[in-house]
Amino acid sequence: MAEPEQEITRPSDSPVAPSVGVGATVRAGVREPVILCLLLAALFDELSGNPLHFLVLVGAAVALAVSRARERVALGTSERPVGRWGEPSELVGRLRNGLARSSKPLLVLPAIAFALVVGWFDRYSVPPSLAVAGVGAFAIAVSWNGPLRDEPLETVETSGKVLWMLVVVALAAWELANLFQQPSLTLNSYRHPTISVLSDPFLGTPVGRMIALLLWLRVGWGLLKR
Amino acid sequence: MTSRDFAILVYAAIVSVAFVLELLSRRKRSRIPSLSTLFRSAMRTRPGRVGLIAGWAWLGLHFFAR
Repeated sequence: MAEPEQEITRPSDSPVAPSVGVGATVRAGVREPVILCLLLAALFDELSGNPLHFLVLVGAAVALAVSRARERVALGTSERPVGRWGEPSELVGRLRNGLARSSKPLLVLPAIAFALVVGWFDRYSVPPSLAVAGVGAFAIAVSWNGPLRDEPLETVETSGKVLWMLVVVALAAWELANLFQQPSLTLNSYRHPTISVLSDPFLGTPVGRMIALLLWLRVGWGLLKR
Repeated sequence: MTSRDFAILVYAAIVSVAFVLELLSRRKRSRIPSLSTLFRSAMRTRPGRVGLIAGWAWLGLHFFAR
């Protein structure tokens, strides 16, 4: 059950983050649905033989759990603070400022270069694995301290949220239904294709990978700006 | 219809529903939020923001990396 949110207007964390133990971190983690989802996804990835995916997801989940535990200690409440992001480190702060000020062409050119170079390599080989993991880790680090630009928040009605949630749940359920009808978690099925299996012919070509990588970067940039 | 055709049909139906919801969200005074608004709302807290970005990173890893 998600906890209520608490509007907090203080712009930054206290300079010294409170220390938290393993128990407090675990308690904070199990109360946070997002952390549980990340751990569940990590478990499935490990079972499917993807240790790099497992590490990224578990790393994000543990970092979030520690952060939530610290917030709980600092605030003296289990409520989830809204708009309290803390100050980024100097390096991350510079990167965030650079990204916030960047013009479109300045971002599009490196994105195209990334897609061309990474998409040219064989799928699942070491270079694209490291490149995609690096970009993902970079985005998580940059997103840690909130949106790049302050924008007004719109109110979202619960009924509208529920409709979108139903779509997401339906997609996840159908994906899982097909996944579990495969011969095993590591063997694909032609008769019960997952989205990955359906995308294989497209992503099997360099051009397909380049287009998909550009799309992936565009979505990531859209999320970072939110 | 083969089981593969049926699986693809269900995926297409779900994507179509999402597309219709997004279209409906563009109407004036719509009670349905756009996907963009929904993401912005979900990303007001650190777990929501980092969770969504981690989900996006995972998609990249899933489709391109091993």
